[in-house]
Amino acid sequence: MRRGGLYLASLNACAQRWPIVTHGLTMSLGGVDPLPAEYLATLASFVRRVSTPWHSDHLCFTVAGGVVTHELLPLPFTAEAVEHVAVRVMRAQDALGIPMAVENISYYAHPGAPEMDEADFAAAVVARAGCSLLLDVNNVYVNAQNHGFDAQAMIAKMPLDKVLQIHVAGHDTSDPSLVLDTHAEAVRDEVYDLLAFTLRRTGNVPVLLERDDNFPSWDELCAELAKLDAILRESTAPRDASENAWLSGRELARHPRKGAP
Amino acid sequence: MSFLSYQAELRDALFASDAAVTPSAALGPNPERWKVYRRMVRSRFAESIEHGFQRLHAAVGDDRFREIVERFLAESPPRTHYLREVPQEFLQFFERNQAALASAYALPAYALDLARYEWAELETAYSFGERSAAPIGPFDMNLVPVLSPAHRLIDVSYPVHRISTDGSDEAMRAAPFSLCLYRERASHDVAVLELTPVTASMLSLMQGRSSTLTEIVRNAAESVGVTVDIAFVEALSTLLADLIERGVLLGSLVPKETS
Repeated sequence: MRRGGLYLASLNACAQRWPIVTHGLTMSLGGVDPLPAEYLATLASFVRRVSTPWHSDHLCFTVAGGVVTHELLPLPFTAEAVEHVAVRVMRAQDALGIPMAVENISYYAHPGAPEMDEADFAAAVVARAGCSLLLDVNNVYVNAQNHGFDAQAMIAKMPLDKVLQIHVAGHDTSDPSLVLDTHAEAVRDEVYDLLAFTLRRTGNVPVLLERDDNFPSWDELCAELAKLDAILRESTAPRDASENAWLSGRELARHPRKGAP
Repeated sequence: MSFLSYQAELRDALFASDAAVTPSAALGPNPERWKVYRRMVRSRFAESIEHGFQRLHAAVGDDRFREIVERFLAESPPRTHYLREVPQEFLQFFERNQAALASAYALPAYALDLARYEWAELETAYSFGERSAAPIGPFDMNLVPVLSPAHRLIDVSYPVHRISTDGSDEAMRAAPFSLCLYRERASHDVAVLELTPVTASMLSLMQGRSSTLTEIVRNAAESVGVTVDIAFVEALSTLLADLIERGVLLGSLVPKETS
């Protein structure tokens, strides 16, 4: 978005081969500043151009008092925050003209005393906003390690019927007191296991491997993708081949594009 | 603690110049966990700015560069939603505080020129105006010329465009240059041209998109005191062909009645 030259040429080349699904970092769905109008307008134009079926951003805030932190900062798991975020998700969906999914983040601290757990928070936002969930399995694992809860139990409580996409990534365990979600390591076996656990409950949904830094060889990366593909196939019941595509017809029917006949 | 006060308090703790500032105990029982966010935010911005100004970073040195970044984060924290545009906000901070920063950190005289040049490179690479919105026709001296949106004109007082990425400035002597940065059509790489005064004047006038090429040539020649003779016209012809070949000059605006 807002890039030309090599970036636009690369995007166009990809768009000729694959469908594009967009994902953002700075909408600040949980922020108290007004939703960024210029950013939303630019994004709306971009999502129309690449014909993404949905757009996703995070259950967090990134902007405070006009300062854009470029960090996914945690929201309190409270009823007030649910209402606040849900209303903003609905506004963002209206501005973009396409359905949205919200993603659970890795959080290293929680502001104050929570009124509910992370799964109930995500479920309440999704239900109130009428949006979908982008479930980051690695984030649930990291949070479980850092806050001392059972990752499978938390996944099982998530609104799994609303999961539109799954993210997996690697994390850093070099500090024994805190696991960091880095997107810069290979996916751990524990996360692969949690992915399989999740897919057995969600059925066939698209899975994205996130890797932002410390890139391995192309062969290693492809091996990770192959492993993810195997888990996806083994964990989900055989379906019609058409449903093994990136986009599930079930989901698209549930979120028809605005203005579509 | 209200929703609003929590977010403001965390923001202040992330950007305070004093690392000892931590969010209050009302946020939670473990202040060390909140400091993780401070480290992550600050290292991301520092990496982004260092990436944007590799030659300035090398020329200034790591310690001094980091201190300037720290001042930027404390005094003028980022407001753009695009991480790649944070270096531009850093440059604007540098421009606003040039004298104070130069004095406090004993910066080389060409530091601001170098920062402006490095950002111009990035901006040219990122430029997303791939084509002119207006219809463009064949090149015509009697029509308004159109430059590629993916170009930048910049005047510098030092040959900062000749500095290598290791920050070497052995040959750095004050000398004014007018530069045109543009994006190669095939490779998308950013290239730079050193402009003569009359060419710089012409390209600057072309950016205005209000005069025909004939008018631009006349005005540019007058502004730098050059006579438009046969030798000038021949050189102009070569220059225009070169600019078209490089993709800097796209053609001429099609008049409205014929578009």
